[in-house]
Amino acid sequence: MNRELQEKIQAWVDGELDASEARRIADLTQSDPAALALANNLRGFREVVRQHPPERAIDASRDFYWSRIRQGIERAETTHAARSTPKTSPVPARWLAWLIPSSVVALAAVFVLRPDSTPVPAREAQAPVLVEHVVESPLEEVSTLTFYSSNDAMTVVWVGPADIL
Amino acid sequence: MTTRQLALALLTSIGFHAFLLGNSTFAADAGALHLQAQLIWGTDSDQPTDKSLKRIPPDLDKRLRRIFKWHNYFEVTQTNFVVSATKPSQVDMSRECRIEVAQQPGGDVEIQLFGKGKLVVKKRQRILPGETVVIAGDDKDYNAWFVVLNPLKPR
Repeated sequence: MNRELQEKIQAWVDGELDASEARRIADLTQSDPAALALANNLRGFREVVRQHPPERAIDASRDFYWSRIRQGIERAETTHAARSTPKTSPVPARWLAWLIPSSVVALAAVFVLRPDSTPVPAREAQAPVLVEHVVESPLEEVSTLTFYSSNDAMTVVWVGPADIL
Repeated sequence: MTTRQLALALLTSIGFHAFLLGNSTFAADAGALHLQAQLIWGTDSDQPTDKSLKRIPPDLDKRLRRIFKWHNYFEVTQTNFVVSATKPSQVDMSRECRIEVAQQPGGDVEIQLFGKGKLVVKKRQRILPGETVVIAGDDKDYNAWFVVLNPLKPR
């Protein structure tokens, strides 16, 4: 089943097709078990999900909203850069002879041995980022529906029908 | 070389080796992903058929109730596990249900869900701190199952 047909079936389930198209899809679900399974699964999913993620109005203009995100990213980068900058303090010159080589060795060790310390952007900056979803199933009868609830910070993959218990 | 210089060299050496030792331990865990997996059963019954099941924590209960229609959620199993950067981890959620989690290049995580020995679904995405991934489906008698994955802070 191609994507266009899947979308038609979804539109049919949602009551968005005109009468002739709706009849065509209804006939198809009578003759095509996969189409019927998808339609049933979509109806089931609608029933299962208590509410769709609510539409959230942004309480600022588009430009202002994105500028706040940019500032959030810049703040995170500045903080990270500030942490990486060593503080200078007056050190007696004779100590430098020991401190400089040992610092170089220690720094080399840090870069070789440190774990992945890629800075995580501020949560504010992550909020509007859409996560790419890749869902696959090798089973013909299984279909999946994925959505993300930003209110609950939750990605849901609804699998149906599948017997896992 | 004076005594003071010798003492300083010795101290530097001890400190450096302590640093190396500490970092080596940490490096072994570098890039590892700490996760908690829960198998949860959703139902409208007030009591689970299996009395040993306990209710899920209130915050997760609240989040699931906001999304799904079931009134009660009971925990079947809970497992904390670590996924190394190089090797997938397998976790048995029940006798018939198993997940396999592997880190992917670029920071994504691949989650495979197996039911009765068969791969049911495979999902790939990034799991950010504070985010939850739920793979769920219908169970018999209008109940439902949920496999819930949460990232944990490394100890």
